Amino acid sequence: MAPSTGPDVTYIWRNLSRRKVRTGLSVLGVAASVAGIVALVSVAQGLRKSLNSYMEASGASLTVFAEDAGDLAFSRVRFADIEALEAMPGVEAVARANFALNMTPRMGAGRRKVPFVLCFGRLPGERTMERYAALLRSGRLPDTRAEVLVGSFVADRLELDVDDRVPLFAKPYLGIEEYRVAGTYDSEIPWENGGIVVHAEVLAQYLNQPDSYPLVFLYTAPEDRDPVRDRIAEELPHLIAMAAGEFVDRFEAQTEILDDFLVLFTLIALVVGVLGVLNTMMMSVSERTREIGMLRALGWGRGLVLRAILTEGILLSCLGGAVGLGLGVAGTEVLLRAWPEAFLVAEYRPSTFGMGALVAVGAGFLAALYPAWRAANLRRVEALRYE
Amino acid sequence: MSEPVVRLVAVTRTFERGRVVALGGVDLDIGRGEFVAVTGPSGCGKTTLLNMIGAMDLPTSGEVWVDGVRVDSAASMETVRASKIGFVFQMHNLIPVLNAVENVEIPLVPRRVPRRERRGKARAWLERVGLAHRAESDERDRPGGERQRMAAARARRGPAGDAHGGA
Repeated sequence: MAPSTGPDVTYIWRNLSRRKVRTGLSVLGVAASVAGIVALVSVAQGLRKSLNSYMEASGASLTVFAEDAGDLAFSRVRFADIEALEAMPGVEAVARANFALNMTPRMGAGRRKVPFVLCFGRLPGERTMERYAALLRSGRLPDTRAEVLVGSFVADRLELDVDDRVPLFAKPYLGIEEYRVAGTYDSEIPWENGGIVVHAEVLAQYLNQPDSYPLVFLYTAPEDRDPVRDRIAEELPHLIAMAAGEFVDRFEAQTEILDDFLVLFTLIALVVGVLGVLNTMMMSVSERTREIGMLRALGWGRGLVLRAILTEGILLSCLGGAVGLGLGVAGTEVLLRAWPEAFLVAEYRPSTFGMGALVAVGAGFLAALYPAWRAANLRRVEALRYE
Repeated sequence: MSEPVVRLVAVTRTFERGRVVALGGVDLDIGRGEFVAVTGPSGCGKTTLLNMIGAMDLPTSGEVWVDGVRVDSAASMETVRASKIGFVFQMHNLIPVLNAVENVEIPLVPRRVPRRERRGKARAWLERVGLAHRAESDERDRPGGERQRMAAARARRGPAGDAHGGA
């Protein structure tokens, strides 16, 4: 057996059990911090993944939008450009798309049934509609401007089914007062179910964009994708073409804010964890002054005492981290179920758990450093002064 | 007498910048196997003397030798405490969260003795003080006399000839 090189594990472990309530509360403190990190990062990852999945689900080879659009809502692809895209060699088909966030009380928002409705503008017969054919829960795909396809969340909350009438907007567009539900769909992307697929020309009127669409999906053979992209860059430099997976990266400015927020939250969680463990370890060392003096008298060197207290703090924090990782997943799942109208989706990645664990270990180390230093530097004679 | 196991040469220890003289030039030789009791009124310096012999404190002047090691630095103090000297404290100072055998093996931790060997030695020492059957006992069911014997077992060091002190 290899000789023991560190402090006795039994001693460290038992110390944590001296004050079970205090240890438990410290563990919970670290657990809450780590759980917060796991929940927040997982939901943020889920949001990114769902955005990419949504773009991929269009089945398009490329998504085209205005090069200078900081946000897709401000993108304009003019009709003339769309015609040029349609005529481009290698392009098999194009599909126009627009979108809007509809918060009109007529949709039941006033009755708090649905907080808002995402409107996805699509044109019947275009290839983007093929996706909805696969997702149909009832009815059929819409054929006319007066027909809509309703997401399962909206359909369930507003109790809508095929042939029901929906007012949708506060005022009529293209002379349409109410829209007939042609069908309902159910997507694996939660927030898509909080939407309604509307005729894109109607939505263009609502958005007051009569001569453009913010997005155009292009369908090409796989080998034609890159040549088409190059050609767009050359001939239509005010537009940008992107494969679905690259989509979220393009809007990094928005997602960077999310990252900054996550970093800030992580730092706050770290500080909270450090303070909790620090308080516990300071009290623990203070209570054990004489015992530490005795250990020094029995031959424990400064380094050994330092390592013992450091290990104790890290172990305490790791316990909190382990509880926190489980609590984070459980808490996120409860949140997703309890708050479906937020359309949150979580993506649990090993890196997220790694980050949570790292915060726990880091908090334990930082928090135990000062108490360990103090314990190691206690004057033996003073520590044992009651002898 | 053979080479003394503890030797103090003109040892002084003062406090408060020399205003309080706890030890004023102590010369002392203790031979291997000798049993020595230090007696005196409260405040006469018994504890300070034991702190010197136990390598818990350094003298203001003079020399302290324990088993051939001069105690004159932090490193030599640690060496002596880890491998030369055993302490039986007046209050026993047993660690309440550890059972008897775990308490007794505590001084072996810094000596890098493998855990199994540590446990074996601690049991043997407990046996020598008649507590082999109480190896797993915890603090709640530990009478005062038993604590004293456990502290004595814990003060054991190497094979033989160790110095033990009590204050």
